[in-house]
Parts: sequence; structure tokens; C-alpha cells
Amino acid sequence: MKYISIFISICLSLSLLLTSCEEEVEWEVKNEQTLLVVEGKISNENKNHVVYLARTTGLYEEVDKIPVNGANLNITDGTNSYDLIEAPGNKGKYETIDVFSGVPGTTYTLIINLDEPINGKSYYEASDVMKDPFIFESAISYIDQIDFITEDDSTYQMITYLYGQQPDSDKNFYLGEIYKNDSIITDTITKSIIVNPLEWGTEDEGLVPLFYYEDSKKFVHQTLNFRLMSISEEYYNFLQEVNSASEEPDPLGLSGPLANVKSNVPDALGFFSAVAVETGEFYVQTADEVDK
Amino acid sequence: MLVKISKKRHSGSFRVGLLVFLILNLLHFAGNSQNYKSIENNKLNLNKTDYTLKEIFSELEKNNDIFLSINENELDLNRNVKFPKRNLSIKEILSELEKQAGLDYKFASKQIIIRKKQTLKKNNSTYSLSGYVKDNESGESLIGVNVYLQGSYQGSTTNVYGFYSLTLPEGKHKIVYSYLGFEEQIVEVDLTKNTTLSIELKTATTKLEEVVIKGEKKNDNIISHKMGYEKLQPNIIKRMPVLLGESDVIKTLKLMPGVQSTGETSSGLSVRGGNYDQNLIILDEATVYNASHFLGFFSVFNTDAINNVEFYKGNIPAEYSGRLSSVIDIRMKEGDMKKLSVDGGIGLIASKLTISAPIVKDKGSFLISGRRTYLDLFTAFSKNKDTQNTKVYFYDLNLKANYKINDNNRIYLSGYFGKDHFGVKDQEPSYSLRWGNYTGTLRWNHLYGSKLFSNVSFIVSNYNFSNEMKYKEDGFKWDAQLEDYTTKIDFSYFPNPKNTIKFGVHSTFHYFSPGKVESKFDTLSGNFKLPSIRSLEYGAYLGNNQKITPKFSIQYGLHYSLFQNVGKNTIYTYNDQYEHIDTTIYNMGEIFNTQGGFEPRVSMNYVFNDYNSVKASYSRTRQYIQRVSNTASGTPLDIWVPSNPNVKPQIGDLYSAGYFRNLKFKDIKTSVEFYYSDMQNQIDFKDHAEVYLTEEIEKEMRFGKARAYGMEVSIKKETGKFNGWISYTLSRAERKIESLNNDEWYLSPYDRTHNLSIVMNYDITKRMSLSANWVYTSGQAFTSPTGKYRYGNKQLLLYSGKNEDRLPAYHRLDLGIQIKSKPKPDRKFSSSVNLSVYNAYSAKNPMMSIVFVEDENDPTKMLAKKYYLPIIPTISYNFNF
Repeated sequence: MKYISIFISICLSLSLLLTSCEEEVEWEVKNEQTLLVVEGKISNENKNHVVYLARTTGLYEEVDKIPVNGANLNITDGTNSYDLIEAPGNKGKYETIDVFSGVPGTTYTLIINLDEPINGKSYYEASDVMKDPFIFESAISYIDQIDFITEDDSTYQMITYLYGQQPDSDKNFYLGEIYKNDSIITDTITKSIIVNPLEWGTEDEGLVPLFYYEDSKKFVHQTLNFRLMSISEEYYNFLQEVNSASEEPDPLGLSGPLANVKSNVPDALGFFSAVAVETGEFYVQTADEVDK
Repeated sequence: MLVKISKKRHSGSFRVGLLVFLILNLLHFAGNSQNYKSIENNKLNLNKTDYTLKEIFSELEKNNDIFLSINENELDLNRNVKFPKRNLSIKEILSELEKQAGLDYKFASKQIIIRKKQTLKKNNSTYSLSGYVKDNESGESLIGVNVYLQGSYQGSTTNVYGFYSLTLPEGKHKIVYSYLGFEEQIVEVDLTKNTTLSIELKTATTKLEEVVIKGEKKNDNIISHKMGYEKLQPNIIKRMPVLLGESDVIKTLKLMPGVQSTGETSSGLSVRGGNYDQNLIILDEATVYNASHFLGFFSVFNTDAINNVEFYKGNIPAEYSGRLSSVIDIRMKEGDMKKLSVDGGIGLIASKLTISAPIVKDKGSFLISGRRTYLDLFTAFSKNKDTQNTKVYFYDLNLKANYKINDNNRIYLSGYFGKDHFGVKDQEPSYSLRWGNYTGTLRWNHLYGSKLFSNVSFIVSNYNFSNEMKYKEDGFKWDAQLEDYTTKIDFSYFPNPKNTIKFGVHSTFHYFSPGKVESKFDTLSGNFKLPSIRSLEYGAYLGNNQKITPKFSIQYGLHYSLFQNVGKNTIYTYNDQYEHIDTTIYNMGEIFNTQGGFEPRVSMNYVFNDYNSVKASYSRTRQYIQRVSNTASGTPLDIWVPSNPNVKPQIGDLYSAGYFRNLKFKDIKTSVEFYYSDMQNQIDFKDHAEVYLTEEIEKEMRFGKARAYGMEVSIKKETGKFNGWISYTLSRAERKIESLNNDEWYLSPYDRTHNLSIVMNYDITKRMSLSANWVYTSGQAFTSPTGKYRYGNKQLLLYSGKNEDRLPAYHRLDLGIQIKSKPKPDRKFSSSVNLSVYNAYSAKNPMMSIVFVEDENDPTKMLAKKYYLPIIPTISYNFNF
């Protein structure tokens, strides 16, 4: 539970504040290694689908990202095969040559052949199953004063309930994005909304809750768009781990042992996902307006 | 008074390096058989042929190669002996002494032990001698007092209620009662019937060295079958330098061989590579599930309320069960049976007060002991607003009463209540974390004659926590608890001096309430409760401590433990991917999933002589409940969960062997023990596991095996102005858990290759003493980053294999000085001031780990940081009257 982790972090910070000193140290990295990082997605939208390739950098290297270029990439569903080419001037970004839409229920496999091996390996393969999309019917959205502490200390949050038909009767996982005038608000992984309705107890109601915190008050009385991706449980777990791993670890190790985020690309990092997208719009009200 | 006559001392040997010293001793031991052969043939030129025993002993000691061990009390040193000629070998002299003075002798290396020949009557009549041994000032029962027949290995020790029983042939016997820190008593009894003899021992008022007898009495570590065992008395604990003014049992245990700390500020212990939840910590028989106060800075045990601590890390006796690694058996004081007694202490952040008095003099007494920290009073004056709003304190209360109904019946009622509060107030949102234990024990001691002692106990034990967050009218609250109800019956039977038989049964009902959440937030799903879990744990045991020959003893026992889950409960069935594929619901009261097994325990001891013995032991232990924590040291929010169809009981097999040697000079006890521990059904958690408020916690668990092995060296000097101990452990602890670390073995977070503790106390004067501890351990194994990468806008770290790296070595020096008030014969009041310095040279040891974070100014750059405890001086004032 996020709240518990937040609470523990607070207790921990206090205990450190009361008792300890802090110091920057020089830590010598042992067993340094380089791995391929994959960030790719295929959806049921009719478009060129994109895969990014990069390699890991040294711990103290002041480099954001080292793209991998010159690779041969292909996405296949067992019947159809789609080649990708490197986008000109944007090294490390690969797009499908063909514009096509993925088909829900299909397993897609990404095949990567590197020009130069990384960590002695040139061939990589990763698969994901595209789930059925959420079928949107209606939405309620409002801005409310926030009632628990958030990472960015926002005062207000935007709470949006999407009503509709869940694709699976058992377990459903989503990745949500919000747009205003075709411009994405949730433009990063940090801002993307990862939802497991089961966790919120709204599974039976055909309801997907989306919570957005950052500077949300300004969207009152505006119409926004959403893009809700139905994702596999494996991808959901990956995104959860990404969020958890990118939080600042506590010095007492209360956040658990450190470990790599589990990838679906063997011997590499990152994820290749297949997602089914549903889009729609909603109107943002105030909490009082909703109560009435 | 017993004395040892010895003029020559080989003090130089002790200056040799420690490990070299032990090796030399081992070699020396191997050569013993040759040594005495050559010594016994040494010739002496006597000045005359008529000697008293005293004179001839003195002549013998002039030989540089000889030391004599003599019990003065049992010999008539003025007795005359006549030798046939003046030039005699040592063997010939001793033979004459044997013939003429009825003395028995034996060689032990270069030492000759001379005793009066035992002439026990050939009489078939045996009688028992039984009773209690107590402190003569307070009437407190003394636990583990050596009670033995003078001049022999025959004897016993008092049990945890101070009771002993010896069965001896009819006739006169000299019985020795000896206990460290107390003056020895030798009592002559003429056994013509079963006899009750209760003894009160006087506290040693002079230097320990003067009152503690050298020789056999101090070799209990040699003759006892116990290995992997430590006994701590409050006076030892109180001598240690302390953190924030509070002496602490757990912190003292961390200085023992084979014991690793689970963190700088943690009250957790890892014993011989085991997990911190694999230690059974009991206070007056009640399990203490979380022994930490103040997020681990202190343990819950108030030293002023403690009578005795026994720590078993090796051969765990048959009467204990339920944990894999160790038992820490803590007994509270009973209360002063003779007079009103008050002990108190005022420290920088905590004060304490203990009051005990008779209910009816020498029949019953009570004790009340309380402790409260007041750091929260100081934080209010802080300039830092976060600190100002921080509310942090703990309190605890120990209560005990006992009453002797008659010579055969006595009852005890004891309890512990402790609570911690840690939170932030006067701000929104506000936070509060409270946790605490309470225990209650009602016991009835009953004597069936003089050979059979029984105790019936009814015990309740509870651990609970409450985690609350409030924002205006809204809030979130998580309550959890674990409660045990236990009934035990234990018997001790003393049929003869060669056997002490213990047997008993116990039964515990465990009730787990892992989480009840009340939420008023709009965005949470409201109130919910994780299902309560119930289980039963039973056991029966039988064990015997048997002396096969005077030199060979064996302790063997068998414990049978049984565990059952009890409905109402929902059990999920999982596939290989940990997806639940089936659900079984058990009705309220329905018993399911019975698991159990035998736990054999055996230890053997062969005593070569008064100074050397070898021991070996094997024990199997089972553990049915475990603490759910994704950390190496635990948090107050850890819940315990029982075994069930998905979580098999943990099983541990421990093999150990050791060589024990006492040095005849300076009362130095040494030992080297080797162990190998094999543990099955061990639990770790999957990477990025979610352990809080998780209904299907089994999905987060991963199972496998663990092993630990090592060598422990101990050198102790318990008496004299200069005393202390050195402990060194060389060890390895590893795990192999499915799906973790590519299914390969990896180091346990408790693995430390080297662990050295040096503890020294020096009494400068009768009123002033110095103490110092120095600790050095290899760094903790941990998973370190080897690179970084970006996914989306997140910077993530690339990690090494699990626990492949190590933190820097840990080392710390603590210093203490105690100054006592000047004693006045007409004044009962006494006091002392303790000055302590924790981490005297301010070593910057990481509190737990190194933290890697993005540079705030440049997100592409990573920084490594550590948090550490600097030098912490404290002062405390203690008093008693």
C-alpha cells in the first residue's frame, strides 16, 4: 500500500533527523556491466508503432541515455511480420514501416538483432499479449482537496471515474493518460496513471478510477480527453516496479532489498508491451457540484 | 575457604596473539599425555623425611614445572607424613601421600590435583537433599547456582526458580553452593533421611578474585554439557558502556560469539546466520514478539527488573521449541523478600524506578519497575519544525508478585506492559505510530516430595501496533495484533545425582489479526479487514541430563511439536507462477493442515580433566510462525503469519562441536566451537514484494533453503579487577531461494565473515571502574548498483547479483566510566554516576546501507550517501536504597 510506504518513509526520515548524520561517500562500482534497454509498445491504434533502444550507462557517467543504433527490429504476431526502421535524426528510435493496428487477443513478439553485441549478446526477443480494450460508457470527474500526502505535495487532485465494460471478468490492469486539446498532460511515466481496479474495490462496478495530482485545479470546468490502455498483468507489475525502484531508497532498507526491475526481454532491461486503447472525454467539475 | 597453592604463573602466554594462543593451547593439549609422564619422574631431594602435608606441598611447588590444586578445607594440612628416603620421584612422593594420608591425585597437564580420597559408604540407602538457593539480602531466587558434592563432579544447578535436588548415599557430605558474584558456602550435612536445606548466599563484597575459588568450582564451563550457551546477570549488563544511558540485554548479547546485529539501531539479532525472527525471546515464559523500543535503539527489557538471562544458540534444551536459531530466556526479579528496596536511574532521555518489598516477610514479595523516556520534551524546543512536532517516547512497566503458600507450593504472577509512540502532531496531516507488547504469566510451583518439581504456567502474550494518519476530519488507521494464550506444565525429576530428567507439555493458541483498516478518505475504498488467522501449537518433551561416568556426560531429549491451522480461514492454491487457481474456505473452528514432527536434541561432553573438555551436539528445531518483513532488521509494522498449506514449517538442523579449555592462571576460560546449520523451508521475498496489508502474502514469499557455518572463539575472564571477554566469529551464511538470484546461492544479509568483540572492564578503585567495548565486523552483504538507465522519464539503477557486494567494515569503540558513592556503614542509600560514550572515535558506519540518489542539480548524475550515528556521550545517575 502506497500510504504505508509513505508513512514509513516519514517515520524513517524523522528518526534519521533525530539521530543521524548524513555524508556523501565515494562508492567504487564493482562488476560494472552494460545491458540493452528496450522501451517498446504496440497498440490497437492504426499508426506507426515505436520501439526505443538504449544501453545502460556507468553509475557515475553524466550521460542521460546512450541510444543503440543500427539494429534490425521486427514485430510479429506469428502470421504477419512488421519491420521497423530507425527514425532519421533520432537515434535509438525505431518505427514500424507500415501503419497498422494491433488486434486484441494476439500475442506480439519483438525481435531485435543488434549491429554490435551488448554484453556478448546480439539477438533479443520479447512477447506480450494484447488484451481487449475497456469499453467506455460514461465518466464523472471532479477536483477535490487532497486528503493525504503525495510525493509532490499537491493540494488538489483530479478524481475521474470511468464507467464501462471491463474486458476481463477476473483481473484488469490499465495505464491511463489524460489530454487537453490533443496535448498530453500525463506526458511521462511519472504522471501516467497505473490502475488495478481490484485494488480499489471497484472491479464489480465496471469502474476505473483515475487520480491525477499535479496542478489539477486549473482543469476545473474543462473538458479533457483520456486514453486508457488495457495492459497485461506483467506490464502492470513492471510499471509498478519502475515506480517503486525510482523512489529514493531509505537508508535502513525498509523499502525492501534492492533489485532490478523485472523485464520481459531476457538478458535485457525495459519492456515491450502490447496494449489495447480506449479513448473518450470527460468534464471536470468541483467536488461540491458532484455532491449536488 | 578453599585455596589454591600456586607460586608460579605463566603470565606470558596470555600476551601471545589470540588465535595463536588458542592454537597453541590445542597443541599443548595434544601433548599433555607426554608432559605429565616426564613430570612424575622428576626427582626431588628432600631435606628431611618427616613432613607435614603443608610442608611437602610447599616442597613440591618448588619444582618449577608443577602446580598444585588442593582443597584446603577437606585436608588436614598439619598431618604428618614420613618418607622412606630423601631422594624420591614426584610419583613416589604422591604414592606415599596416597597410602599414608588417604589422598587421591591426578595429573592435568603440569598440574597435580590432590584431593581426599572419596570414601563413600557402601550403603544402599540414598536420600535426597533439596531446597532453594537465594540471595541473602533480597531473598531473590538464584538461578543456575552450582550445588555439588565437594571434591567430585557430582552435583546439580538450581533451576529457574532457585530449586535444587541432590540424591546422595546416607552419611556425611560436604555440599558446595557456588555462584558468580556471591560468596561460596560449604555446608556439611549428615544425610539420614530426605532433607530440605535452603541456602542464602552473601553477595561478594570484596574483590571477586578473593572470594571466587579457583579450581573445580570455576570449571562449570568445562564439566557442563552446555555449549553455545551464555548466561548473563544484570551486574554484567550494567557494567557495559551504554547508548543513551540505558544498559541493555540485547545489546550485550550482540557482543557474544556467533551473534550479529541486524542493524546499528536495531534490537534484532541474527544468531549463527539465522533470521532475526528465528530467536525465541521469552520474559517469564511469555513470548515477546517485538523486543524493540524507540525504533530499535533500546530493547524492551529493563535491566533493573531482570534477575537472569540465559541464551542458547547451540544445543537448545528439549523444553524449548518454536524457533530455529536461539532462545533468549529472561527471568524477572521476584521482589525483595526482606525489606523495602528502591532502585532508580535518571538518564539524559529516560528515567526509571523500581520498587520491591515483601508482602509477608520471607513468604511473599512484589516488584514494580517502570521506565519512561522524555525525548519528546526536548524536541519541543527544537528550532526545526519537523523535530518540534515530533512526538517520540516509550514507557514500560514490569510487575511481579510471588507468594509461598507452604514449603511445597508457591505462586507467581508477573506481567510486562510496554508502549512506543512515534509520530508527528500539530500539523496536517498528522501521523502516529504506536506499538507495544504486553505479557502476563501466572505460575504455580509444586514439589512432589523432594525429587519431583513441577511448574504450571498460564501465559498470555500480545504484540500490537496502530498506524494512524489524520487530515482534518478524514483519517486512516491500521491496527494489527498477535495474541497468544499458552498453558504449560513442566516437571523436573532428580532421581539420583547422575540424572536430571525434565518433561512436560505445552499448548498455545495463536490469534493473528494482520490488519484492520478504517479509512474516511473519499479516494480509498473505505474500511476493510484482512481475515483473522487462528492456529494451535502443541508440544511434549522428555529430556535427561545424564552423567555416564565422572568424565562423560550426555544430555538427550526429544521434543514433539504439532501445529494446526484453525478456521475460519481462506486458503488459496497457487500455480507455479504464483497465480491463485483455487480457493478453499474453512469454517470457524475447523481444524486443518496438521503439521508436526520430532525434534531430537543431544549433546555430549567428555571432560579430560578440570581444565579441558570436548563437546558435541546436534539439535533439530521447527518453527511454525514467522515475521513478515522485507527488511533485514524489521520494523514495528511487521506482522507474524503462521504456517499453512502454502507455507511449510521451517526446519533447522544444527551440528556443533567444541573444545573448552580453562587456564589455571587468571581464571581465563577459553573455547572454540564449530557449527554447521542446515535450514529447510526458509523464506525470503520476491523482488519488489509488497508486504504491507497484503491479503495473499504467500504470493510475495519465496521458499528455499539456507546454510550457515562457522567457528566461534571465546576468551573470558569473569573475575578480578580486570575482566571481560573477547569473542571472534568466522562465519558464512547463505540462502538458495527459488526464483531469486537465478536460483543460485546468495549471501544472507546477516553474513559477516569476521566478527570481533572485545569487552573490558577495569576496577580502578572500589568506587570507580572503567569499561570499553570495541566491535569490528565485516560489512553487510548487499546488492549494489553497477550502472544506470532510463525508462521513460525515470532513472533506474542496474544492480549486481543479490547481495554480491559488501558495505565497508563496521567498527566502533564505546567507553564508560562508573563512579559509585562512598559506602557508609550506617547508610543504606548508594548511588553511582555513569558516563558513557557511544562510538567514541565517531566512526562513520552506515546505519544500514549506502543510498544512491540522483543529484538534485543534475539528474544524470548519481550520488552515494550514507547515514551514520556519530559519537554520542551520555550521563546517567543511578541510586538504590
